[in-house]
Amino acid sequence: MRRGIIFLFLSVTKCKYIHIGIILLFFLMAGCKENENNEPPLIHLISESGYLSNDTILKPGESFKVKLSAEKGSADLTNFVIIVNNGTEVRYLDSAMHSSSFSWNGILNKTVAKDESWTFLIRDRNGANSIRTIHLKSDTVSAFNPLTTVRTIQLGAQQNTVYGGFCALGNDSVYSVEAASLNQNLIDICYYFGPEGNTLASPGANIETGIYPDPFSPLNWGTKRETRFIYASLASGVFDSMQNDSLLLANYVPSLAKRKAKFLIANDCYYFKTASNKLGIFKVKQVTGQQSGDIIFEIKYQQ
Amino acid sequence: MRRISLALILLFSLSHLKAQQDSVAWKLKLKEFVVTSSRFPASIDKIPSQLESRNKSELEAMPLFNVDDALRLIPGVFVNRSWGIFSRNSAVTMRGLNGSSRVLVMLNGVPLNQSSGGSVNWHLLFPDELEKVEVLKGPASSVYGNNAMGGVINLLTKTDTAKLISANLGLGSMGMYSGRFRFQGNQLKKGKGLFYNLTAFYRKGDGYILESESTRDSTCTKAFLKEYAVEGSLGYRFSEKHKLIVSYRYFDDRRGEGIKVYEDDGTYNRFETHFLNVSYLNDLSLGTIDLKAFLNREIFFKQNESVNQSGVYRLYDTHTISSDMGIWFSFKPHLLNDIFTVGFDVKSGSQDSYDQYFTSTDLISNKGTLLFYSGFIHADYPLVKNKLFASGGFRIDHARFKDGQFFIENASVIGSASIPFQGYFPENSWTQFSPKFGLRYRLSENHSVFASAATGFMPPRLDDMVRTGKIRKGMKLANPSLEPESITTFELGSASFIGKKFILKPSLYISYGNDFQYQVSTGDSADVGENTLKPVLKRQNISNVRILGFEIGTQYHILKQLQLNLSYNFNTSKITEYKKGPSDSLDLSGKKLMEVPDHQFTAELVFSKEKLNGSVSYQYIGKQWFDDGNTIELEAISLLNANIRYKLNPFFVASFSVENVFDKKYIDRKGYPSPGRFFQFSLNWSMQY
Repeated sequence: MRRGIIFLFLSVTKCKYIHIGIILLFFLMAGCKENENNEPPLIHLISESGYLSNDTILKPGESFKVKLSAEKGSADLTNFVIIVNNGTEVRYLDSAMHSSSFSWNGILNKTVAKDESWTFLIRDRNGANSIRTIHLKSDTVSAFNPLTTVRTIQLGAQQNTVYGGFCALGNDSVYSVEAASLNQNLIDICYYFGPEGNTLASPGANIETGIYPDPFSPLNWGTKRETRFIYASLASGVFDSMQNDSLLLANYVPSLAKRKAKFLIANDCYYFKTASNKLGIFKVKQVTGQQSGDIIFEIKYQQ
Repeated sequence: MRRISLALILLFSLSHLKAQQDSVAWKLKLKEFVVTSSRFPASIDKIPSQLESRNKSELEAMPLFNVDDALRLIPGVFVNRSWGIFSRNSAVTMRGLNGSSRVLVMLNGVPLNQSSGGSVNWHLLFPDELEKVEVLKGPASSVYGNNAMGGVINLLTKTDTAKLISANLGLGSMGMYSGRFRFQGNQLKKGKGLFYNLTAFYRKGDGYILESESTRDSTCTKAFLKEYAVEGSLGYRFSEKHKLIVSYRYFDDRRGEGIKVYEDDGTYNRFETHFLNVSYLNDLSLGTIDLKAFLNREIFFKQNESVNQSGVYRLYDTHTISSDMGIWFSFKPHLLNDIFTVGFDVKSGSQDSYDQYFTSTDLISNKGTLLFYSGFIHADYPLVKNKLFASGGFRIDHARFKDGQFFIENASVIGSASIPFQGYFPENSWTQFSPKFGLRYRLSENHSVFASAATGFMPPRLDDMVRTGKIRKGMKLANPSLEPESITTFELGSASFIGKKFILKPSLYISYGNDFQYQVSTGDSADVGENTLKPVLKRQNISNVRILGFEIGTQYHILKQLQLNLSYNFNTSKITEYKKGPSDSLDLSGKKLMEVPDHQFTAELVFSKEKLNGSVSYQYIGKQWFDDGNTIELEAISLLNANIRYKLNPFFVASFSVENVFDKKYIDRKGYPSPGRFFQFSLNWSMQY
């Protein structure tokens, strides 16, 4: 047996350059790439009653509903993006996933621009993508929507025993944490004092543990409505003079909106959008910090 | 003198052959010939520096899972490989200088440090390829330039050309198994002709879960390992002192990071390396020429998959091609008793990288090139015959940074913070002068002392010059204006051979470092897609450091078959001056350098008797700081390792190695636990044909 092996290798070495051939063959194999079949994903705008799937004319600020579905091609879907372009390109939504199919439906608002396009893009793990676009024109005859004004809202921080800390804009009501936990489907905003100072947050925000008692904390709610905020840099008097939603429509960029308005001090203004797709703005009138403190703010939002 | 020089080369070659034939592990090495001090063979007892080596028989007695394990017991060298064989890479600290980019690592005299990140891929080489390891301690930029601040590590591979076939099978804990095949031979006639070898290597391991049980979630998985390599070399020997060798190695390495959400293999790193080396040695009547041309091209891919604290899934791939190519020319003229060595080096390093996001649309790219032109002269001169030896020289390195750029396409919130910093970077250049001088005085045949002053520098890393993007601490800005950091070291040392059984090599050194690089806050903050603002940082030449150190290494030849090696190393590396930026809240003045243990102690008992050899080693690594601000301190570590090797018959050798015998768990600087006890059994077969 051993002689056989020796003979085999002696024979091999007689072919002087066979090992060089092996190296070259290896390089050749390493250099070969598989012929990849890269099918892009598919995206469809669904034409159903009440949902927009074609180009149209809308009033500035008018809401419209879109429903879409997407299926994978060669690779799983990983990214869904909505881009609105009215001369300036803005990302309305940028979300991640890893799935073979995806569906989305939502309420969008026409901007104040004369012409705009809404692009719905789905991408996959290979970087391949598919898009659908809706073009919208403004109905210039119509006016902007008027704003409902709720003059003042006073909310108490988490240890304030006088004022509730949870606000439902839909019925202009304020709730304690215990009551709020029983009305989860109504609550839009809560107020507390935490590591990021005086904070107005949506129940769906990443509220720090220990702020609220566990049985009632929004962390444990089954329904968490999500309100998102963007800091509004307004000149003096602009907030008071706002009568319609033109500024809200022009300045609220969903992809830049956060689930918390942090480190609040008097005169801070924030645009916001509720889970009911209502745009609004608030201005802090007064805030007395710490866990037993309270906040008073003025609020205006779409009717 | 020319004959002496040739004799030295011959002796060096013979020492290799002898080491192969000699099963005794402890050759006492006070007069050994080494190549690392001046690129040509020189006797270690004439070099005014501490130089350690590990020869083949010593390496065989050690438990070697990776090449860098061969350095663990060398006095003053700290190898940080906290995940064992599953570590993405290893960081080597020498002389109080942390990070692999402050130590020059070479493979057969060719630099392995990459210009892009400064680091070395230690996995490129398989341990049983090693013939010898030489470690020159202290700065050596006067001969080598880049990266030679803390020292130089030269990995020398097997050079024998005997007709041999060998195979090795390994089996270890955590699902590890490996295989290696080597075929070598020659077509030599009267010492002339072809010689060649071909080696293939494969290793796979299931790994272990990096997260502790209390913090584990569904995304935690084992940090696996899959690697394979092919190495081949072809040489032609024109005469004993005239040869050409072309070698090429391909290495493919895939290592998991212990996180998996959806993708196959989760978050992992893949290194594909092509390393080509052409070496030409010729002893002419004018002098000896040593020419090395090299190409080190690494194609790095990382699949990054994670879910952040807000529950947002993120997936992106990083692609980086790093290339270093160059020519090193060294010449030792047969003039003035062969005292001089001169050399000219040219090197080009480049990085071309992009991050492609799949859970957003961002495509973030960067690239840049660093060119080096260098020349040096080195002299070894006996001032007093057999008594006083002088050694010194200088080197000039001129570097040019060009083609730097950073761009973002289709930015989402992740890349939008970087948009203001995109564009083409201006060219930048600098020149570094690196002198060295030392004296060694031989008190008697067996005792000598030395004193030296040496300089070293580390060039800025291309990645720091061109990459802007997210890092763990926040967002890092590219700084194309970065300049090298440098160090000057003054050292006193001695070497004694006492009673033919005991070697003692102590050293005391003090180093002054200038323009050390740190990441400094710019005062800005940015949202890099984590729903929170994080600081914006920029690496800058900002601090001066002072390192005071003492090390002592001993070898005690207890019996013919038993040797005890002991070493102790102390150093304190402090930042003496920290030039705070206007927005920098952190003042690092007085802080210690991170990842530098103050105390390190090793003990190694090596035994060898006919068919049996092995070692038991103990390693104590003192406390070290985890962060620049010295707020988190890593606990001291004690490790016991063992290895036994038995020659079953002329064809088969079996070995069993255990790392971390007592299964001590410790936490690394990222908060991950070590793998604990790890063992490997291997069976080696070899046959001459």
